[in-house]
Parts: sequence; structure tokens; C-alpha cells
Amino acid sequence: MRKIIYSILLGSICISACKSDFLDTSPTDQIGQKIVLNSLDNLYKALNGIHRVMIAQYSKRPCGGEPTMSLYKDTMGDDLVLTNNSSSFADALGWIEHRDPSSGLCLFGFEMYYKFILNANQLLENVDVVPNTDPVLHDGIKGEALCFRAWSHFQLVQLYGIRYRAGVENSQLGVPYRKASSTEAMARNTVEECYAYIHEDLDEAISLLENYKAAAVTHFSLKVAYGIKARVFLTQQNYKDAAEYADLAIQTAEKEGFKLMEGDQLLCGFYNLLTEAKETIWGAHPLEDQSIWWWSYYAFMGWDIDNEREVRCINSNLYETLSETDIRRNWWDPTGEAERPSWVMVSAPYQHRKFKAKEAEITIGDFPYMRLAELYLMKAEALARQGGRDGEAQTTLTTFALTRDPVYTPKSGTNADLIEEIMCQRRIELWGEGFRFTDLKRLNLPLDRTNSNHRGDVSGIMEVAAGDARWEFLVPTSEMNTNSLMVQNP
Amino acid sequence: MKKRLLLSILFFVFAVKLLEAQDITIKGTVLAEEDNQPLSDVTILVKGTNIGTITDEKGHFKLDVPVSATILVISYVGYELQEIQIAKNVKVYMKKEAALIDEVVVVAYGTQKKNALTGAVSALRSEEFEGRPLSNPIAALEGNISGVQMAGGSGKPGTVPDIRIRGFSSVNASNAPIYVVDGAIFNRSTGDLNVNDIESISILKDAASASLYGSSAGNGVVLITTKKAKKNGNTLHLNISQGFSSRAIREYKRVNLWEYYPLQWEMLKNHYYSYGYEGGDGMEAAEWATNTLVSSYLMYNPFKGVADTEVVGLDGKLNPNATTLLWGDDMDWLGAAERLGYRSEYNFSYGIKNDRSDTYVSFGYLKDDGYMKRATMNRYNARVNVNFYPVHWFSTGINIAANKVESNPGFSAGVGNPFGFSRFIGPIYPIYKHDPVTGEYLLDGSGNKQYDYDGIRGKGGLSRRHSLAEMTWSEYTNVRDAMDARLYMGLYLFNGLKFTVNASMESSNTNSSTYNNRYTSDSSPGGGLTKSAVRLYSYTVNEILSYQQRFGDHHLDIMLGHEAYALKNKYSNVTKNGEIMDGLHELSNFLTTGETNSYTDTYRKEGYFGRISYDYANRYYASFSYRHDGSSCFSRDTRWGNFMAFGLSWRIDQEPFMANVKWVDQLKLRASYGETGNDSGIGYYPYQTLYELGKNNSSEEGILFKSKGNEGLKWETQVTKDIALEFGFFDVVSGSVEVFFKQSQDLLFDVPQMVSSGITSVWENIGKVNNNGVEFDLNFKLIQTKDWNWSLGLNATTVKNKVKRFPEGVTEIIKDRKRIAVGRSIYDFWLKEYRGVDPADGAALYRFDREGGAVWSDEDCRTINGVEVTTKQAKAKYHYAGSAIPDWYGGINTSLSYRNWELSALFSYGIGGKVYDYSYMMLMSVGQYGRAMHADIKNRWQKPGDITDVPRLDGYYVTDFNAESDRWLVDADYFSMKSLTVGYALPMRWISKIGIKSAKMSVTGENLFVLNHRRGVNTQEAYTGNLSAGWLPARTCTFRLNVTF
Repeated sequence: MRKIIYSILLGSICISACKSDFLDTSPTDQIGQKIVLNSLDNLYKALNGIHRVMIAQYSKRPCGGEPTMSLYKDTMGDDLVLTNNSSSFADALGWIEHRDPSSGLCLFGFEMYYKFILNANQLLENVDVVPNTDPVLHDGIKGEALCFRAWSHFQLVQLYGIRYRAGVENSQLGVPYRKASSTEAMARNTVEECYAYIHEDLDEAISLLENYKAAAVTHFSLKVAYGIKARVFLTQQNYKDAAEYADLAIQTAEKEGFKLMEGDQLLCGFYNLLTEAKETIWGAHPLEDQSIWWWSYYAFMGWDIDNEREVRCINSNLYETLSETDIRRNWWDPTGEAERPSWVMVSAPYQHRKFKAKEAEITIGDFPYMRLAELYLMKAEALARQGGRDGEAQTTLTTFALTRDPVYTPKSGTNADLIEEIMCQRRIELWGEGFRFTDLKRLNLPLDRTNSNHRGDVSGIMEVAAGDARWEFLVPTSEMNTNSLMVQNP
Repeated sequence: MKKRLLLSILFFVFAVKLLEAQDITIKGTVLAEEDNQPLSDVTILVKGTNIGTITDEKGHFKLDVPVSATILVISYVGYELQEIQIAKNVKVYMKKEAALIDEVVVVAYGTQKKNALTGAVSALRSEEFEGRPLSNPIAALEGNISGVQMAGGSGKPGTVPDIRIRGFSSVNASNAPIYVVDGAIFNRSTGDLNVNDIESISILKDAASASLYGSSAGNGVVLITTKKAKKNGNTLHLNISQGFSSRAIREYKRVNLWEYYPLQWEMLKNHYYSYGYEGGDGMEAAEWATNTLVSSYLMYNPFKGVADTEVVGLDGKLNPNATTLLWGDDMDWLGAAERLGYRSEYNFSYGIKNDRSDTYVSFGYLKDDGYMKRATMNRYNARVNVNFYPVHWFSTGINIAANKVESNPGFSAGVGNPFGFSRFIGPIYPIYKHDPVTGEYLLDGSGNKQYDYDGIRGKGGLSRRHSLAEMTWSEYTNVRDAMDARLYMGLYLFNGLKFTVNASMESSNTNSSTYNNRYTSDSSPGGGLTKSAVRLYSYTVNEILSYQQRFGDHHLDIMLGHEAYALKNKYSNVTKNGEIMDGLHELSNFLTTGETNSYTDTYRKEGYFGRISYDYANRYYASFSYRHDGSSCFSRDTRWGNFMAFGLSWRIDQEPFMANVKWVDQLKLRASYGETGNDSGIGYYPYQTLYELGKNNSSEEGILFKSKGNEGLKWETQVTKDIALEFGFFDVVSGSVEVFFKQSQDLLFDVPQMVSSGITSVWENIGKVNNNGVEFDLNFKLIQTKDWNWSLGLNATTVKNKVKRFPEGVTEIIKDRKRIAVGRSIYDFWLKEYRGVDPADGAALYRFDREGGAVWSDEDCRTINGVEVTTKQAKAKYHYAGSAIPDWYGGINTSLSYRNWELSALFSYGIGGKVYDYSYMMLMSVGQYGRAMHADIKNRWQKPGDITDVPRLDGYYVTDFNAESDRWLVDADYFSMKSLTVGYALPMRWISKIGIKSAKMSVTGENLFVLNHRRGVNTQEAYTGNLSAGWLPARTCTFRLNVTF
């Protein structure tokens, strides 16, 4: 009897043991990598994820993706003027933040671009492994991933490396060019190597993207790859190739129906740029539930939001170069007295009216990463800087300028005058879109905010000589702590 | 789960049928040894069963026992437990209990006599805290139990304190203990429990006692047991308490308005001068400061009849005509947010017990309106605990508790929180709008004052935010409904064999609503509403087979069991923005949909366990336990872990050779070794590489890499060794000294990856951390007479925390102002070394970081007294600046009684350690216009030769002069009076006439004072030693009435 009872009781403990899969659990809002990386369709979704985090928030406020990085870069230039020294951008404005390796800005560049790079590498490592059910889609995913990798490294090397100098060996340190997803320590490649890899990736991307029809301008495409190529050449002061690729990009885009904005389109407030005009060939188009609130570009830049009691203005000297008939005069308010919503408390002369949030409380809006206007201006600049091609340069400029000023007439002058005019057009057209810091750097120009509406106590710093060590961002402390092969900038 | 439960029950019933019941009848009498008087209500039990009865008024009992039964266990409150051989007729003499020694404590899966313990268990019984106005049972532990450290208790209604048992074993995984309520893991907030329902709290400190909870017991186990009806008959219990609360810690000392303007002026003057504008635009620095201080920097001028440019003169002195204020009575931001808190509590419980069952029912209501406006909590509790033992071989019972907690924190924790806001806003800004000339309130159309939420203040004056407006206009609510049920069935076989099935489940639903107003909040303009719902559901089922037997002086106790545990957490939230109509906080009243989200997390665990305990002649004890556990956090190959423990103890006082040593009441030596595990705090799926959903690219669906998993990740293990001596001498002093060595191995570590890898971090099992320490407990019975009783208890703990090993390639982890490295504790501050102020120019100095490769430049580097220093914070050298862990902590309690009066007090203390005083750093800024300033700023450097620790006020150098450094550390020593109670028990001759068994009145004060190194600081806020500017503890004064019918 005893034995029976013991056996029953012991048996009951054993039988009640759980099934072997009792301890296998998985989340409901995340999926395992093995599932993701098993079909082209899923890889395409993972590609979309990278595009989305171009407008995501990163570790430290106000780091809200590529648009905010653009805003940082313009803040560090001379064309964007701030009026209040308590803004989140004050330390960037004063050239302090990018020289403090523990700052949010130093981290931001590394954190964001290497996130794109990791995700792109994971796509590249699997796109040839999954069943190739749709060769065009396969090529598209691979081409876009290569674009991501090349463009991200290009952005990084411009910020963290000493500028590329044409005609000499660029043995100065760039950034680690990561061609594989890995957690291994990696040393910095030289700037020369970085640019070589960037071209390598872009060239392969261009060959892959030829037949690929991107679903929307939120994607990379052949025209964008050409455009990036042009930017890279321009930065390398290879003006011949820059002009050629800018032209290729323009032609490809215009063939697809893209055209320069004109008239009222220019005054749309940019938040609906992608739907109101056909000028943006690569840009972000967040939907209402994709807002990052007070981290977003428009939270700081929208003129209908006075977040941090900040107004952003144009450099008064630059504004004065605008012709009386230029439509873009409406992008700024030189009086500071323009009408404003009741909740906006502050205003200042030369405040902008270029960017407006879709609705003030949700702080979203379209953001252009690449517009036809930039391609025209690149082409014109690259032609003019080659010397001897002023005619072509002027024609290109005229085509563009007429859309901004219907009565534009070319001025006659020297090559230097033409270059100066193109640069002014570029500064005005791309104001707030993140080009000024890298333009100064690639052209080896000094920062000069003097004799303008820049206020010393707000802007913090008025002049920085060309070639100064401060043109380089410092490598973030967290990277220095974890990457044994990393070397800090001077 | 259902199937398994059903199976167990089936087996159960089947087994019962096989039993044969053959009984004999025995009789007996129980007498008190001291006076030979019969004792009634004494419990008689057949050992290892629940066959039993109680004695009648004459001390007689009669009982049917199975033939196989051999031992009777006889117990009575206040008397020593006795075990006797069964005979037809027995006579028992009960001995008075030598107080506390034979205490029974709750241990893993059962109870044990304190004497028989081989592990480190501390217990707190309800009598020790029942008078205190505690909203959370865990708060009772502070100062009362050695080895237990507490943080996070604040005056916020419903706050949940956080405890650590014997140090900090883990770096990234959780250091919190697990809570087990009535035998099942409790996942909800301990704030759901009604303190009045709690019978005892046991802390399992070492592995020998905790390892039966194996897996998750690495950080210790807190066992909470709820009450049940104890005495035969009816007991009705009622208690009511009413009290008031206020803030226990005074605000930082700050400069007043009259001192403020000249200081801000000085800041601006030096700012201008340092900037290099002096004379450059035709103005002297002083002129500039005088002209622009109000108009460009502070923006507000509270002085009547003084022009903006004349508030501070060129000499830096306040204008002598500035004597009348425009809004002098309207700047008390803190006062306007505070109130006298009100706390009331009503508890009712009823117990009924007879030979076949006992029932305990309780209801409780607690209302706690905190000392900050709008911060409230209402809690409703109900509990039913019923046990049936209808036949001698079967018992069952169910314990059901339900509660509802409605709380409103009053404000959000961000910029707008009234603690930080009122602390940091300059002492010049009014709460309401005023006419800038007359100072009159500007009234709205209905004649009401209007909050000045949109005025532009100085840069440091928190423009556009307004703590009081936010408290008034925004709204935050939480409602939590929770229920749990613990069910057991026990089957007593023969010869001490017992089979038990325990099943428990709990669920809780929390609904939160966060409304940020459209005018001044994180969601302005527009306004925003977030609704979130969390549903938690868990169950635990275990089957336990136990066997107890005595062979002469040998006593054996064996247990085997299996347990399954599952937890599900369902979470969802919706945010919408753009309020349409004022005052309606529903989603349909908002225009655009923001973030929407939902997910479910599942965690499961399964374990097999066993324990063998043996003792010989109540002198030698040994126990061994083993547990085999699997966790869903780890991959199939690594999820099972084995945890074993053993303990030995020797009761020296029971040895024959001690029989003549009368002055030794108790002497016991015990030692244990054990292993426990830790898998908490690492998320639910750290072994899986995951992509997250919802990363749509505009309208195209998108997913994104989220985290890199580690398939090889396994349990973190804590290995604990423990030696203790317990003693009692002369009937006066008793206590224990305990030494422990706790080492965590395969530490779960969220290893930061290179930023350039694109991966933030990966969980790995790396390294070792040691926590070695000593605990002392001493209790004195200083006076023991008929009328007077005075006792005193002291406890002290010291723990040395040290990282012993890191994985290859990782030399340090820097985060939270700490640097974790081999040989250091996990809470060692790593900060720039502040070297004071250069008397020559008042610059803040830091040690120059030559080793770290900083570039020397004569502009910002200098050598002072042979030390290389720099004024540039970026060139400063970091160093270890002290630890956040106290050297010693513990408590003192004392109780004095005279007849019906009782006075008791509880103190807690910490010695050593440092905290990082964030608020002080903010208040000591040398360049924030519009921010409040600490009174210490008056010691600033002003002219060459000034010897001081506070640098020059200079807005230009704010980054350098106010950098994060060890300057902001403050010693964390504290001594706090946690509780003081005066009680009076109404004399029996008064109350017995009206049918009352006992009645007691008491007055209690909690947190009456705290002594520490800086006014305003709550050194116990967090273990990390990083202080914030949030809720501070409450001082509570309560009157309580306790009546038993």
C-alpha cells in the first residue's frame, strides 16, 4: 500500500512537469532576426526601417535624426542666426558642443550614422542569401543599402575627419569604414580610403539601381545615387566629375517628371513639400503618428512654434543679396513684425518664414534631403569652379534662378563674381537645410559672423580660421571607451 | 496550466481513497508548570498531521488519533512547544517560554523554529510595526532588520520603497529581492498590500535559506505572511487612524530677492568683461551690466518706482530706493504648492475559528492626501482567508485578496514638477500676472488672478513653464484593480508523509491617463492626452511532498517539489494631441493621433526542488537543499541552472556540559553555503536577436534591428557563505554576529558596444562582484519588572562591495558618474577633480589631465603649489571621488513601558558614503540668469587674494566653473528618527464592562527629524547616490485607536 501511494505521489510531481516548450517565449511587438532575414519582402521592410530612423530620436535631446543634424550644421555656420542664448543649440552655435567628446552632438553623429550602417550591412550580408524571387527588388534593396552605407560614411567623414584636399594624399584620419556588421574593434580609415570606399559602394549601387523604381522619394534611387556622387566629388574638389554627376542626376530626375518649384510652391512652408511640389528627389515624409514631438526638426525650426523661445533668422548680409523681385524674400521677415500665432511669444528682425510645421502641436513636416535646386546649384558651382565653363555654369544658374525670380537676368562679371553669385544663391536656397558648415569646410573658408545681426553674447563665437582644429568634431567618449583602436582628434 | 492542476487534483483524490482510517482515542490534561493551574485553549496536534484539538477550561482534552501516530505536539502562546509520546492518558506541564527564543519563523515552503534554523533569516512580526502609519509593509523594515538597506521612500502617496539585502551583487541586472506572499511570488506593487493584514515579514538573507527559491533568490527573498484567525472563538478588531503630513526635509538655503540682484549683476558684469567687450563697444562692463541686467537677462523688475536700468548701480549695489516690492507676497512658489497632508485609515477585521475551520475577513480603507496639492491616493483592501480541516487527513484553504488603488501624483516628474521648479526659479518671479508699474494683479474677465505662465523670464528662470499652472491645468490619474487568490490542498498520509498542492494566481489592471494642458506643459501648444492600460497576470502552481519522522533523538524532514510559474504583461497606450474642448480628457476630444502601441510580454519559469533537514537531540542541525530551474530568459541550451545549498548549526547551549552554565540563555553557532540565481532586470528575451515593429517609412511598412541577442547567456549565480553566532546571556542581552561572503559569478552585464558598431549593448555573463560584510544585532532588556519594561535594540551592517573580475577586453564601464572597474565598488564615483579656486583670479580649478593627453596651454593651465591645474573643464582629470555605498548602516529601536503606557522609538542611520547633489550644483551656477542661487554663493571669489571655494560669478565661464566634478559630492552620513510612538492601553476594568477585550490609543510621529550634512538633501533617495529634485519624505503625525471585541 505504501509503495502505491509513494509512487502515485512521486508520479504526480513528475507528470505535472511542464511541456518542453513551456519556457519558449517571444515578444509580440518584435520579431526574431531569423524570420526577418529570410525573404526579400522582409528585407525590404527592414530597409524601410532604416529610412524611418532617419527621422527618429537619438540619445540626447534635441537629436531628432538627419533633419536635426542638418540644423546643427547650419547652426554652426554663419547664415543661421539665433536670438537667445538658452536654446538647446547654444553650445553648438558657440562651437563648444562638437568639441566636448561627452556631448550629445559628438555622440549623435556616431550613433545615428553607424546605426544606418549596421542595418545596411545586415541587409547586404543577407540579400544574396535569401531566395532571389524578384531580381529587380533584390537589386533595389542591395543598391539602397549600399547608398545608405556610402552616404552615412560620407556624412561622418565630413564631420569627424580633416577636410579632403584635392591633389594630395589624404592620409589624415577619417572614420572606421564598416563593411560588415560586427562588434569587433576597428581603427579609423584614412580620409583617402574612406572616399575610395564611398565611391566603390556608390558605383555598385548605381549599377544596381538602374532598373529599380523606388516606391517613393523617401527611398534612394538612381538619381539620388548620382546626386550623392556629385556631392562627394564636390567635397573632393573634383569639379569635373561633380558637374557630370549633378547633370546625370538632373536628367534622370527630370525624365521621371521632377521639376524645380516655382511661384507659390516656394511658399508652402516646406511641411508638405513632397506633396505640393515635385522638386524633392529624396526626403522624409512623416505621417501624423510618426512624430517625435519636441525632438523633431520642426519643433525647433517651425516658425509657428516658439519652442525654447527661439526665433531663427537669416544673416542680414545674406538677406540683402536677394533681389527685390526674388520670391524667396518671403522666406524671411526683415522687420520682425510679421503676423504670428498667439502662442508664439518672440520675434526678431530677419526671422524666417521658410519652414512651418504641419500643425504646431504635432511638430511634423516633410524634410528634403536632396532637391533639384541643390543639383542645379552643384552643377553650376562645379562648372564655374572648373574655370573656362562660365557660360554653361551661367545657363545652369539661370534655369534655376528664373524659378525663384521670374525677372532674373544674368549679371556679367568675372569667374569669381559668378562663383560668388552661385554661392549666395546656394546659401539662400538651402538655408536651414544643413549645408553651410560642410560648405565652409570643403572650401577651406573661415567662419565669419562679424558685422552682421549675429550677437556676440548669443552666438558665442564670431570667427574661426580656416583649417583650425575646431572644424573637426571630436569622437564621442563612449566610442573612445569601447573601441580600443579608436584615436581621438586633436 | 489547467490540465496540470486537474491532474494533480485527480491524483490527490485517488490517493485519499486508498487511505485507511483506524483511530484510537486518547485523553489528557495540560497544566502550567509554574503554578499547576490548568491551561485552556492549548493546541494539541498529532505531529505531521492536522489532527488536533484544544483543551477546555479545565485543561482537559480528548482526541481520536490514528493507530500509526506516535507523537503529540502541544503548543500555547507564551509557552514552550512540547512533543510527547502518545499514550492513552497523558499529563503535560507547560513551561513558560524564554522570550523570543522559540519563535517560529516563516521560511521557504514552510515554517521553522528559529532555534532550528541553519540559515540567516530575520523576521519582523506585526506587533513590531502595527502602530505605525505605514502605507507599504516594506517601509517597516528600515532600521529594524540588519543587512537591509532602504532607499526611495518619499512622501508621494503610494510610494514604494526599494530595499537591498546585503549589498549589490549585480551591475546591470536587478538588485531587488523577490517578494513572496503566502507562498507565491508576488509581482505587483507591495503598495497593494494592507499593512494591517500582515502577520509577519521574513527576510531570507543567505543562500542556505533562500536557495529553495533558487533562480530568482540571488538578491534575497522577502516572505510576507498574511493573518489568519488564531484563537478559537470570535475576534473582532477595529482600528482607526487619523493623521497629518508635511515635508520632512527643509528646502535648501537660498539667497533672497534683495541679495539676488547684486549677485546677478556681478555675474553679468564679469561675463561681459570676460567676453572681451570691455570698452570694445564703448561701454564699461559695469555699465553694460547695469543697463541690461533687467531688460535682457532677468526680464522682471519687482521694485516699485525703480527703472529697469537703475535696479543695480554701477557700484554693484542695489538701488537704495528699491525698497517696495510690486509683488512681494506673490513669490512663494513652494508654499503655493504645499498643503498640510491628511491621512486617514480605517481597518476592520473579523476572525472566527473552531476545530474544523478558521476564517479571517478584513476590510481596509486608506486615504492619503500628500503634502503637495493634488497628490492623493485612495486604497480599498479586502481579504478573506479561510482554512478547513474537516477530517484529520485533509486540509484546504483559500486566501483571496482584492484591492483598488486610485492615485493622482499631482504633477509630472519633469521640468514642471513643483519641487524642482520652486527650488530653481529665481526669487524675483511672480506666480500671477501683475501690472509692471503698479504691481496690481492683472485679472481676467471673470475677476480671477491669472497665472504668469507665458511671461519671458531669464534664461535660467524656466520660461514658458509654470509648476502651479501645470498642477492646476494638467491631470494625471492612475487606477489599479488587483486581485489574487492562493489555494492549497493538503493531504496528510501516515507517519508524517504529506502531499500539498498550492495554486495561486494574481491579476492586476492599471489604467493611467496623462493629460498635459495646452498652455504650459510638454504638449503645449495644443495639449495632449495619453491613455495607457497594463494588465498583469501570473500564476504559480507547485506540488510538494514532504515527510517528517523522529527516530529517538534523530529527526528527519524531507521535501520534494515541482513548481511552474508564468507571468504575462499586456501593455497598450494611445496618445492624441490637439485638444478640442476644454476640460474633457477623453481621446475623442483630441484631434490627431500620435503614438499608439501595444504588446504582451511573457515570462515563465519551472523548477524542481528538494530539501533534507536533519537534527539530533535539538543540538546538531544540518540541512541540504537543491533546486533545478529553467527560465524563459535564456536559450534552450542554457536555460537550466542548478542551485544547491547546505547549512549546519550547533546549539551549544543544549550540550550537557553547558547545563550548569546558568548565565548562558542561548548560544548557537551556524554556518552555511549556498547558491542562488538571478535572471531579472535583463528584459524578457535577452538571448534573441530582435527586430522591432512599427518603424514604418511614411506609409510603407517597416521594421528595424532592435537588439542583438546572446544565445549563450545563462543564469547569474550568487554564491554565499555565512557564519553566525547567536547568543543570549543573563536574561538581559541577546543578539548575533554574522559574517557573510557573497560572490556573484557570471554576472549579467549589459556590455556597452562601440558606438561605431551600431549596436548599443549586448547582455553577457561577465565578471564577479563580491559583497562581504558583517551584521550585528544586539538586544537588551534593561528593565524587567512588574510595572516597568525597557528594551533596547541595535543593529549595524557593513558591506564591502568590490568588482573582482571583468571579461577580457573590458577594463571599465563608465556611467551614471561612476566608473566600474576591477578592485572598485559598483557605486564608486568617477568625477573631475575640483581643486578649488585660484585666489588670483577666482577661476575654478581642476587637476590637469596630463596622463590623459590633455594639451597644456598657458592660457587655461597653471601650476599652483606644485600641482598642475586647469581652468578648462575639458582638460580636467577624472578620479575616484568616493563611493555612494555607506560604510555602516542600521537602526536603533527602544521601547519603554510602564503599566498601560508604552513609548517606543525607532532610529535609522548611515555612516560614510557620498551623494551627488544635483540641486546644489544647479543652485551654485555662476552663469544662469534667472535661476535661484544657494546661500553659499555669497562666499564667491570677488577680488584677488580672496581665499574661497566658490569661483567668480561669471556667466561667460559657466561651462568651466560649474562643470560636473567631485565638488558636488556631499557626505551622506545621516541619523534619522524614523518613528516615535506613545501608546496607552485602556485598563481592562473600564472596558470589559462594555464587552471590549482590549483597547489601545497611540500617537505616532514618522520621520520626525533627520540630521545630515546639507539642508535640503535626502541622502537616501537612491542607491546610486545621484540625487534629483523630486519628492522628499513626509513627516507624519498620526493618532490611532485600536479596539478588539
